[in-house]
Amino acid sequence: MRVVVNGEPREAPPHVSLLDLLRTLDMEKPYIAVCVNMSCVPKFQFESFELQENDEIEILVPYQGG
Amino acid sequence: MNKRAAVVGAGVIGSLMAWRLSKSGWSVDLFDQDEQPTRNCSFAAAGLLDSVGALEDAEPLINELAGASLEMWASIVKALPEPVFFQRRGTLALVHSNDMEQLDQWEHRIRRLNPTAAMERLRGDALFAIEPEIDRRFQEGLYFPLEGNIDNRALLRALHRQLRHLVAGMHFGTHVENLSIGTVQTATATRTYDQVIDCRGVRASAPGIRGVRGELFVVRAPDVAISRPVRLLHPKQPVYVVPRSKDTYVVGATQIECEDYSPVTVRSTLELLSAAYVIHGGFGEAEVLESVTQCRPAFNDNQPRTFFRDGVLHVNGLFRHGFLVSPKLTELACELLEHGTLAPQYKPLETEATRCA
Amino acid sequence: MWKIAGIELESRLFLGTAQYRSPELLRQAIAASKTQVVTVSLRRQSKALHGAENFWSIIQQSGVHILPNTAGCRSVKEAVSTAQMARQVFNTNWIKLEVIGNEHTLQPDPFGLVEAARILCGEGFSVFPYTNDDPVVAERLLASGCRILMPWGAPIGSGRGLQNEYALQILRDQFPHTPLIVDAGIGAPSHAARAMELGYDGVLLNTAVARSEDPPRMAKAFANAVTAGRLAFEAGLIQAKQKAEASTPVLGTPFWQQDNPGSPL
Repeated sequence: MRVVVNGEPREAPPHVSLLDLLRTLDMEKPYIAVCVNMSCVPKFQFESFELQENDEIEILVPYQGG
Repeated sequence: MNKRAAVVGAGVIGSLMAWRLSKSGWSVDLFDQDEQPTRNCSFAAAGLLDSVGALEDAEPLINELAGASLEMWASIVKALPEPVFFQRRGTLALVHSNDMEQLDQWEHRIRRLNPTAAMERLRGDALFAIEPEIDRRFQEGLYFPLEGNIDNRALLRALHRQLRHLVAGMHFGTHVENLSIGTVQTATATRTYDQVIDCRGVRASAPGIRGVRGELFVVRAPDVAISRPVRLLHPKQPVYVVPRSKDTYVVGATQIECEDYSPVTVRSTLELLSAAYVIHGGFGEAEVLESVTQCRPAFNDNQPRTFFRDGVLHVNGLFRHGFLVSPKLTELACELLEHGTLAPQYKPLETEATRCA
Repeated sequence: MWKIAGIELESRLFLGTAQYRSPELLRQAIAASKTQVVTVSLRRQSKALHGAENFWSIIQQSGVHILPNTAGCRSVKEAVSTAQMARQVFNTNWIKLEVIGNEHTLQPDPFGLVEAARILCGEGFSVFPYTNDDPVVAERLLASGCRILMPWGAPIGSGRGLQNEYALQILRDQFPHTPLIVDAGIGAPSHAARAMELGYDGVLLNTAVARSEDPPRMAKAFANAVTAGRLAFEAGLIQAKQKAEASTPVLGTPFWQQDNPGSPL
């Protein structure tokens, strides 16, 4: 199925878990945060969270800031 | 029987290394993953040789390497089989009247680090005498008479052309899967050498390298006649405009702490091209020939290094200073290879970078 | 030692992590400043993780507390969702709340700030609001649940120092039990020392160190300044006077040596 990750469309297996998607993207890291369709998904829910067709996933990481 | 060297990576560093070593009697094989090496920083660069201006945010050693390199570029260019645009007619640095403190700060900083640096503060007519076409809103600027610029793409083309005759083997379009002490492994062969030299920039096996994203534009602007590089200083996003060849200019460059090769963003486009327009209104009608994204190889302190690691010689971390210091740096790398150590004043180039990740 | 947001700290200097010329300078500046709290922001992940990994390592290895910020947020909704994501990334309830109201001055939007603070305090965040020096806004923030205030010294990045000491003094007087941290506009260590002399609990700065010529050295200067200012405050500054008062006692000086128009000679 089609999902969008940080603005880029990608193919993913149907009902893939957020955790598995992160793993395939090599983005399973302790310092990321994930939003799906503008809603923040808590880390402990990554494994159980099932993605749907056309879900928009935003991955955020730490960056320099004042 | 000549000693055999493998130089992996045919950007400006690898190409100059291959050139020097061949001339010193080594039998050299030069590798690059591309048939035409265009997916590298050396191709993406603007060729700005800002030996004094670079002092503003680089260590004084860079200034020294840059000064020596400027001299060396003149001889290198002379020795090449085809003409390469290279000039030492100086560069300018301008600011908006709102940002005059930037100019003061630049000037102050450079003077402190090098009291005898060739730098003049110019106003009004004196400024326009240097570059008559810059917009009259700029009434004050800094002139660096000894700086220059080079057409980096022409340089690489000419150098590669000459290398075809000098080196033992040109292996372009050949991806190196693995390299280690004395060995280079590709899909079709494993070759052995007396010395392997890794000049692959971001893709090298050098420990501690990170990629720093940069975006720039190549434009064709027949309505613009600027003959020297012009920098527009800005606290957040400084921009340079570098004349490359007739009517062609390079406008760059952003610097973003992210190893990201995705296309130039709208924000960066606006920042870079509006700065060019402000410097000369003729850029309004310019054609955008290319938008370029690349990642500069850098160690954590943004200083270049040459060192041995597990028997492989590395030359890397050139960050924004590839063309600026490569002639001198490659000379020093060859010295390191011959003597096993660098002269005391160049020792910092050999030190291990602090590593975090 | 002092207490803030549930922890005890030695250092009263908080440092921002933006605008350093290289990661190594950031690392050295953090170490030289002896800060125990740094601010960081969040950004959207691009294809390669290396930049974030490197930055993360530097922060982790320096052993500091992280104060995530909502930099760049111009609406309550943005600020709140950024705070929620920051909590995920950094595993902390701390959030430096910035809701910007004006692009040129980068000053806070007090209405959005109070609203966002109310929501976030309600969700259990420990909010460090970047605010102006208006005591009415301060009052509203505390009423929304904030336990800390971070009034500005001057516009972000301007390096102008404490533009309105009078206002900062009023805030200190009116909120004697609230930790107050001057955030934004500090340019020189003397500014930081001055903020501490006024009785402020800490200072937060970024540009003053990151864009100085020698950031690690400047970081050390600021550390010293903050310590000096706090010591001075605790030691009790003398009052400024209108007229001179000799330090040397005049009793015992022959009256014809005294510069006194009333003396007989």
